[in-house]
Amino acid sequence: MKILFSSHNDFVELAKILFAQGHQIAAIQPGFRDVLHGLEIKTDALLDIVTQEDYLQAAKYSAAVINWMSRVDYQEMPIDPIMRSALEQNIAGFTYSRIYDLSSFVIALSKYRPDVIVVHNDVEPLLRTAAQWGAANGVPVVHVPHSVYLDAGRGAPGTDVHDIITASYIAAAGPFQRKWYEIRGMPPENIRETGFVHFDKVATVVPNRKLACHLLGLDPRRPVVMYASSWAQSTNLLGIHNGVQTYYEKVLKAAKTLEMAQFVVKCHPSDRNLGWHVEKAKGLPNVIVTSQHLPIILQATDLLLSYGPSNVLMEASFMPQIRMMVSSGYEGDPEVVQTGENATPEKIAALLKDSLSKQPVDKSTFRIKYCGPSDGNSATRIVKYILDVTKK
Amino acid sequence: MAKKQRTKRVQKPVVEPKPQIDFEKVQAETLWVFEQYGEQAPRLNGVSVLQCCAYDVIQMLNGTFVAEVSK
Repeated sequence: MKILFSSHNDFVELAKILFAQGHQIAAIQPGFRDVLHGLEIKTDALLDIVTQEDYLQAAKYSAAVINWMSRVDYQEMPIDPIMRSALEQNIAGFTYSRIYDLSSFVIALSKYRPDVIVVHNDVEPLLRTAAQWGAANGVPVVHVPHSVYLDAGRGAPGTDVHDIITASYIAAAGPFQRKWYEIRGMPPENIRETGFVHFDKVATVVPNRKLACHLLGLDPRRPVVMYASSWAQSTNLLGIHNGVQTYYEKVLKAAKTLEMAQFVVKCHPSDRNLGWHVEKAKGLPNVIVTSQHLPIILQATDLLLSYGPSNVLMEASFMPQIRMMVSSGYEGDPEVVQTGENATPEKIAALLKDSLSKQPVDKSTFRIKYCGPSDGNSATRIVKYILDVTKK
Repeated sequence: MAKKQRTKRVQKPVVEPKPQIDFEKVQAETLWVFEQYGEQAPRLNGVSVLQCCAYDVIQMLNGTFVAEVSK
């Protein structure tokens, strides 16, 4: 069977299992093909099979779409005038090159014709195109989300691009995510709770705090606070304010007053704003900043404070010694303490001190709700789901 | 008598009010535009490629509007 993957680290495990079973693996992007080649998984790269003639066909189609767009009357649309003006002025020029790229990809999909497609989201242009192509051509598309989304700060369901569902099936982490997609219109029978591959990695870890502290250069006799910072996601409402910066500055002020604690600031692994975080923490002897080493940091951590909802809380829920705290989100979960987005540095410091003085609570209810089955076998379950949907 | 020196009349800069943008509304409307009009746009092998650009367009418009209000 020909199985096409989007480029996502978690899919390496799935590709390994499927390749060993004799399936033909393909990657949408050549970069991911190279990663799999490095692991001796023979992989086709879809974008490599596009020919000159295909590009010509793509150019003709793109011109037809732009021509169609030029006849759209934005004046008649019931939308905000500022939006209307932005669409009128920018939209055709902005979308042309994207339409051209994506139409080349559609042609490649039609030539390669995979039996099943696996994507880590179905909203980014390339991946939504794959999902639409699958829907139009009778090829199942399994969406294995890379994150468990929460509604905090995103607007009502149906107003955010992540609310659009194009893939035919979803491998949800657990019951919370199942419900999230059902609310957005996914038929319940097209969702299976499988757990996530990246939770497999923490599910089997027996935390060794002393060793983890040693590896990070921390003193195991002093408390360790992980601050999971964030980045402004510009596709939704989280990207329109400076909450990431403001809250981080308050956490650093709190760290100044809690000299006995050691702070590990964990930035998003994409490194988008690592330099800025490092710069801000200069001169604070009890703060280190990194975007890497999460599995080690989790083992060293006594208390996790996260800026807003994050997968890191789910990973932390596997670690019995961690207390969990957020700026906002998880209001219905007693395992998580909320500081409030507008908390002062003094309030943050007081809450950190108070939580550190208490024993960590049992987090299994939280873990099952958000992570689903947490036995380290999610990859096997997802592979089974991928193969099952091809038989429908 | 010394000539009275004329002072140049300096025109006060016109301060335009910052635009008020309801980001949630704009985000929902962008999505709406791309879903509705994308449905009608020419397709390629069954795919409305225009619809698939919504993610990038929202990013671009959010960036434009954030820049506008923070001028």
